[in-house]
Amino acid sequence: MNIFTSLFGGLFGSVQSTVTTILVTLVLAMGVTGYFYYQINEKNIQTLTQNNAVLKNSITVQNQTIAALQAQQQAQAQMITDLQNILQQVQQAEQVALAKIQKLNVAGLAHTDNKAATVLVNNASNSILTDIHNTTVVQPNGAQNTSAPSASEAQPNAIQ
Amino acid sequence: MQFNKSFTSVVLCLMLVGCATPIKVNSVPTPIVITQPPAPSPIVVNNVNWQVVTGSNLNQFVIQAQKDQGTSDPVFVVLSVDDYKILLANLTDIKRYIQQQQAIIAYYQTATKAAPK
Repeated sequence: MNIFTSLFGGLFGSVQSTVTTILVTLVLAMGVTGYFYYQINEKNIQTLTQNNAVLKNSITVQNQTIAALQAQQQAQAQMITDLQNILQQVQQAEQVALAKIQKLNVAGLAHTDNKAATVLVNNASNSILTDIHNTTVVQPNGAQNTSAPSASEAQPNAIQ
Repeated sequence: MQFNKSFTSVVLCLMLVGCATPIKVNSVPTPIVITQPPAPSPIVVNNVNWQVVTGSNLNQFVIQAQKDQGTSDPVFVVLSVDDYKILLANLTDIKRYIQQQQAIIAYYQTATKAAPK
């Protein structure tokens, strides 16, 4: 009996010791793994938090950019409208001036008052040439005369 | 079967690690600076002296022209009233074109002007 007990007790004791060692090793390995896993996760969480902040900031900048582009588009549309108005005004002024030119009665005036006819003819051409010169004169701010002329400005003053 | 589940889990974990890479967003608008060229010098015009000639003042005009040109056989460039009107219409159209071009240039100058900081 004593021999049997000591034989199996020693055998089971040896197995128990081995199992205990394995378990302790596993627990330690899990602990170390868990520690490093925790460290890595903490670093990842920090990075993700920073990424989130960057993305939120990016969204803010993108929204501001979209708003700026929309405002710019509206301003552009207004500028196009203004430009179309100026071009149309210039076109209308030219039509008025051409109508006045066609109504010039130089021949009739020349037979009654030749000097007046001469003055009329000279003033008509000089007025247009002066307008052309004034259009190309550079303003003090560096811009050229771009305002649309009124109908009275567009037509030669001497044409009556 | 069990191996496949474990393998899938490991792969998914490895893929999720990539989401923790720091990102960099470059969304700052870059302004484009366009240099405005200087305007050309204005047109210098010299007024033309027109003479209206009819039958009543033709001789007087010829005598004056002989004196001005210093010859007994003066030369004239004659323009009828209708052609004079055509000339005026042409000048008016040139003026119209210049004014519209000026407006378009002003539009582009404003559109390409650098935004104030």
